[in-house]
Amino acid sequence: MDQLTALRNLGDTVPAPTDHALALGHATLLQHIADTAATPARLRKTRRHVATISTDEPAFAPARSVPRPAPHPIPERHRVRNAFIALGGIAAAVAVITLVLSNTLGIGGWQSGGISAPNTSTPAPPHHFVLPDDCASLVDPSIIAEWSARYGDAPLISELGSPIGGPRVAGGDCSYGAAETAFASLSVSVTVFSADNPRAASEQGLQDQGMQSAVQPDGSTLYYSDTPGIDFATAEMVLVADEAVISVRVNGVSAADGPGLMPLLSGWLAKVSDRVGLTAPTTPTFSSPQPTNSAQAATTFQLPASCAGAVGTSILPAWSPRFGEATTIDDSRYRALDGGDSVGVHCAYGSNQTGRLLTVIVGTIDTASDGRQRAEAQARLISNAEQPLGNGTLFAEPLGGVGGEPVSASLTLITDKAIITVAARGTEQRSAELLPYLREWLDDIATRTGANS
Amino acid sequence: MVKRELFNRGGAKPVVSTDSDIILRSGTSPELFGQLYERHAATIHRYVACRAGAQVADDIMSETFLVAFDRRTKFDLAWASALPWLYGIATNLLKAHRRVEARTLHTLITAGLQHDASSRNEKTPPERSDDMIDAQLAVRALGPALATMRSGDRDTLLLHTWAGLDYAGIAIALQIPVGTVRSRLNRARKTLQAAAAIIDPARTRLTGTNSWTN
Repeated sequence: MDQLTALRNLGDTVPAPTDHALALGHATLLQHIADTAATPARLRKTRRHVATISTDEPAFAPARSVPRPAPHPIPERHRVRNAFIALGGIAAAVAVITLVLSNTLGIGGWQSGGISAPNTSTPAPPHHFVLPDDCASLVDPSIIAEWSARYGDAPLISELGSPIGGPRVAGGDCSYGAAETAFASLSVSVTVFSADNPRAASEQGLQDQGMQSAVQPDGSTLYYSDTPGIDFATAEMVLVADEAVISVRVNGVSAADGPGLMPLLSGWLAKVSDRVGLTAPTTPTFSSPQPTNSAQAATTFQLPASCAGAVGTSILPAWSPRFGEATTIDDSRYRALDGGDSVGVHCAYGSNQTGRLLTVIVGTIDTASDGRQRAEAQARLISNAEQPLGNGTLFAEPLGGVGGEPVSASLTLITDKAIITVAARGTEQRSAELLPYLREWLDDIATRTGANS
Repeated sequence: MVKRELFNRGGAKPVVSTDSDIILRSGTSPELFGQLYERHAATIHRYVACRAGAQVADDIMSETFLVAFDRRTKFDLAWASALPWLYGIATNLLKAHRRVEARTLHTLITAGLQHDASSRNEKTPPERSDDMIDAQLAVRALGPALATMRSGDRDTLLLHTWAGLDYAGIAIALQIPVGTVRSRLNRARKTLQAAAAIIDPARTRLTGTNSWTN
């Protein structure tokens, strides 16, 4: 799809005006016409009002057949008024420049770089609390990389201390992912204690949530939880120190992931602590449970109910470190279009910025007596290599990378009951180099679903 | 020359055939101008809603016709349709809503991505992914492209794609020569294409083997 078509399509999605809006506009116009036509004085007033709107309406050739009112000289009082407006504009510009300069030079501005005032005669302690200016300073990129490897795309959706339209506040949340739609999200937050928000109140709140705690040698306290709590976080780790409370929180993922996330959260909290100048807490030893739904062989083919079941827990974590973002592009069920009764799930993950895409399709074979033969015949048409695999047939389609086309490759396994396709496109690797990855993932799916048992 | 019948036989409500007729007659019968609203208000609203959302569109739609009425003596009666002229007024009124326009575009693109993801069930599964990602790449590239475009180029492009004006119509709306419309559109298209170029993928680790048959 070219961009102009995409733009046109976007325009088509805009709804028509409501009857109320149309009626209101019509009434306003008729009232305006009536007012204007009523007295010449009101006509002039309306024109002056409209002239103040910055319309820059195109000046067309005057219609000879329509009489035009003569231009009105600007009265003296308007000249004075305009002069005042101009002076006001200059004063506003000076004020803006002053504000910008004072902010840039740090004159009278909020010292966002640290709680302790700079340039004091007291030597700074080796570790002192520093409130970062932004999320890039607070959150180490490796945290986002590790998160993305598990849960895909992680755009920043909330920046520190900058509520839209509100005053800047000390601290705040750095949220990554799609928190507003309750999909997987990662939040790293820092809140500075104050008279209005003392440490004791913060700790009381955490204790009320039933979080486990561990007092640290330096007097700080670590709170943690690997089950969904009052704030619906699947896993959470919080460090309460004298100056501030920092936390790392995961929302919108399966509750079963909670325990497995704790070792990651320990590492992430240590990195965040380091960024703000707090001593990293000593965390309990958390075990890393093995993925629960990967490579557990099924004895008969079971069509996955969703894409989560189709890709399991190991495919996307294996895709992301090599090929990047794995945002869900498609997660849907399909039914055969050719009149057959095959059904399945269609899953696509990748990035609509880079065009890299992983497609996984798991479906049933048409139950008609020649269902498998027809599926294999169709696969042969688009494949250039095939080999037997268990009781099925594996078809390979290494493609792309020539003439500007995105590199792509696909593997399809067809058995008596199942059809599984794993395909990738848009990667830098040549298509032949993609196939071993695809084979590994296809084997994983086939084993878990029992497709080739 | 047969004079056009501008009034029906009932004599109560005049009926005119073209926008310029309406504007001409509104010189002596101002209430006739309401017919121009009935003809084009929804069209203007749709264009403005694309750019600044429905709420702003309600206001600008109304304001466009108020301005048009007050400036109707400047309309060139050689043009039968007043639509390009109205689009021009609406486009100028939009200048006061640049921030809203940016937010609206973001919302529109987000909705467009979801629309693309949900409107392709008619495709067979293997075809769908590629089509989807291609469509999403095109839609996603629009945001940065439109944001970096010169405002004159953007106005020209959006009058072309969303208002459906041809070169002459855009020239009337923006009061620029047709040659300038052509060059602006050309530049806007190039900006769109450049933004849609796929980012070069980073080098990825090799498996050390090309064999998929193990």
